[in-house]
Amino acid sequence: MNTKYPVFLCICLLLLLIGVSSADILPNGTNTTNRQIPSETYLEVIGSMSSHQQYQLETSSHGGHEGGFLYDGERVSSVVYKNDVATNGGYLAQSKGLKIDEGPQQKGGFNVDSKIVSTYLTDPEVGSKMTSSDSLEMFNSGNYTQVNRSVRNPLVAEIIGDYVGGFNSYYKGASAADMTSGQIATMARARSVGTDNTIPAELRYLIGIHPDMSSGIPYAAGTATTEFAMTNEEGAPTNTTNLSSTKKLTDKTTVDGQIFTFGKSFTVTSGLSPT
Amino acid sequence: MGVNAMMYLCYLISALLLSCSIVFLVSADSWSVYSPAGEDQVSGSTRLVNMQSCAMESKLKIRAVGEDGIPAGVEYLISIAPINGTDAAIGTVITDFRGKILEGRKAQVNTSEINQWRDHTMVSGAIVNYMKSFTHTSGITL
Repeated sequence: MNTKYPVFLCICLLLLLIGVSSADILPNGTNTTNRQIPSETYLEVIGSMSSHQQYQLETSSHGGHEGGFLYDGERVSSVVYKNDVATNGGYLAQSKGLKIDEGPQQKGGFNVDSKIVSTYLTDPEVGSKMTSSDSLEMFNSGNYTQVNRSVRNPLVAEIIGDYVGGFNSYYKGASAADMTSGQIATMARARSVGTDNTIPAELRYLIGIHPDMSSGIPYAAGTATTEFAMTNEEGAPTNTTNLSSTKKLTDKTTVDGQIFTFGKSFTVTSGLSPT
Repeated sequence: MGVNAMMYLCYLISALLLSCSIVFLVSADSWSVYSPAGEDQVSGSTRLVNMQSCAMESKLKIRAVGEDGIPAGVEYLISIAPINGTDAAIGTVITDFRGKILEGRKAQVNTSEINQWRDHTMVSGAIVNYMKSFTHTSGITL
């Protein structure tokens, strides 16, 4: 979009994507040490800034799996959260909180809970900008049959055509932005360890971009992209050759120019009701 | 902190490394009670580079020895602010926090949980405020 002939881009996008998958049985966290690691950052700087944050939590209900196979009743989950922010000049104010709790969660609780608000302002003529990227991914898999060494890896499952009573689920919420002014708020939450087998897996991702009212500029300027994804495949205990259910959802949005309002949110919850 | 004398001077302000293997003694004879095997590493460091003026505050607390059931804990906080009479601290601040946890489950021989985190941040220029903190505690239940 040519900034010399500003075309006012007004995007009011409130999109709530709710995906329901039916089968994520999470590993329970019983008998682990249940580490809790809250961290906070507040900063206000005129100059350059770079930050890199990464968190990974992998949990297995049975103490490890081998070569893409799961034991009888085994569940595994993996969560990866990444956040990178960099500026090469200008004014940046940032508030960042990341709560990590590897212990088992009830409904409404999360193992990863990140909230970030960044406010940035620069003179676009001097070439400085803020670049940020943020992503939360979760992979859950389980075998709820009495069969040992059920297939976990979806690629292996496809090759040998064996889908005995297991599930593979993948969820992702991500965003990336290049801004010269404005405020970006993101929230990323995931629950990958449950107190018992009735606690559903959940991933929430939310992003909002607004003008920085204190700067006097009535819009946020830059480019922002969001990406949401959910895939789920399940096999029935009695059918060993075909999947019983597959689901797929992707959503990718890009905005560029003078952004007055941009908001997107994504929630995926497994609607689990084991008997 | 002096203005000119501090140029090109690198401070290693604080570094901590906690590495503890948590072993809990379970006196019950019953095999229904297990203590998980665990390995836990945490570190936090802050460097100030080319600081011309600043006011710094840091706090570090560690609980590494306790009775059974008392969780290990680390608390770390670093704050950089301008000195009185100035608008901003001038210079570069680099913080690096990281941790890695491995756990076992019951009598299984493979790792049941991997928990890895890292936060690396650098700010450079006129620093109006810079504060980072983390707490690391275990919530073990046997």
